[in-house]
Amino acid sequence: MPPMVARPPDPGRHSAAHFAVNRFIREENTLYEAWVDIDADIEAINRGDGAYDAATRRVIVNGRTYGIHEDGATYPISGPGLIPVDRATTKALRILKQNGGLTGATQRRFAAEPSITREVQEAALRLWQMITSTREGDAP
Amino acid sequence: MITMTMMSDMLIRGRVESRVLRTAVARAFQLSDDAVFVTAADAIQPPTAQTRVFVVHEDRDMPGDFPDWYSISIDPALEPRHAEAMDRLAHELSLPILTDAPDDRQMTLHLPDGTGVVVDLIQDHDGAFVMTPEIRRLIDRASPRVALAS
Repeated sequence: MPPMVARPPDPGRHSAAHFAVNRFIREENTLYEAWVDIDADIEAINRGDGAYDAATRRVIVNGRTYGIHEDGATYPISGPGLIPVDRATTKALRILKQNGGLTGATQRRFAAEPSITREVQEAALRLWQMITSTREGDAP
Repeated sequence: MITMTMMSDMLIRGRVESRVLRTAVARAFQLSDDAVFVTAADAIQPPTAQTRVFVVHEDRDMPGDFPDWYSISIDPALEPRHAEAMDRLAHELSLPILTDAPDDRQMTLHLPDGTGVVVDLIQDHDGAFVMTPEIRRLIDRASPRVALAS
């Protein structure tokens, strides 16, 4: 059990459904899908149900691995419903969210951005479709 | 179509004109001005065939102490030069710049004296990066002083 009280991840950065378009893009990030019951995972961590590794400050609960900062803030890493995204894909997702999907403005931006390749566009669009078609609480 | 690598976002503590930024970025990467393309996100233009550094002005009104937000994509061959170039860019502009850092809750602060230091800095829920007293001291120490006539 971690020595600190675990707190949920920042939804503005990690929630696929609620990520904020003005979050600084990190080299690596992991989003959690809307169906993942983050609060239940955090409660389980605080009950001591997870397998905690003090050396890496990581905990595995319900099949998902989270990191825990010294102040208790958690961040998702891997597992069911957790999606790692790189910078370019994050940027493409941000553009999709800013423009409300694959609009003309999104397509113009995608066409002009040399870091958003065809593969990145396809990956971001798949994620966007999944994000917009999944409601909170839905099972996968 | 040119393919580039997206590098860290860049937040500047101060406003910079596009043409000034273009020249400063070119100097920082030791390129000609023609190799740098600066454009605005809301009226984006694609890079030219000569472009090796593509800078997009994402927002000029970010809350907090670093209001000017840019994203940068570069020719993959320039990646080894990127960190040093960001230090040089802060020097060229005489303005502090924030970029990514390896640790999740840290940022790299590029200072006007051309050095870079990793600092603890978390983005607020409204998107603001707000300077801590330690960061303010670092910036003050590294900023050029105007000599006062006695």
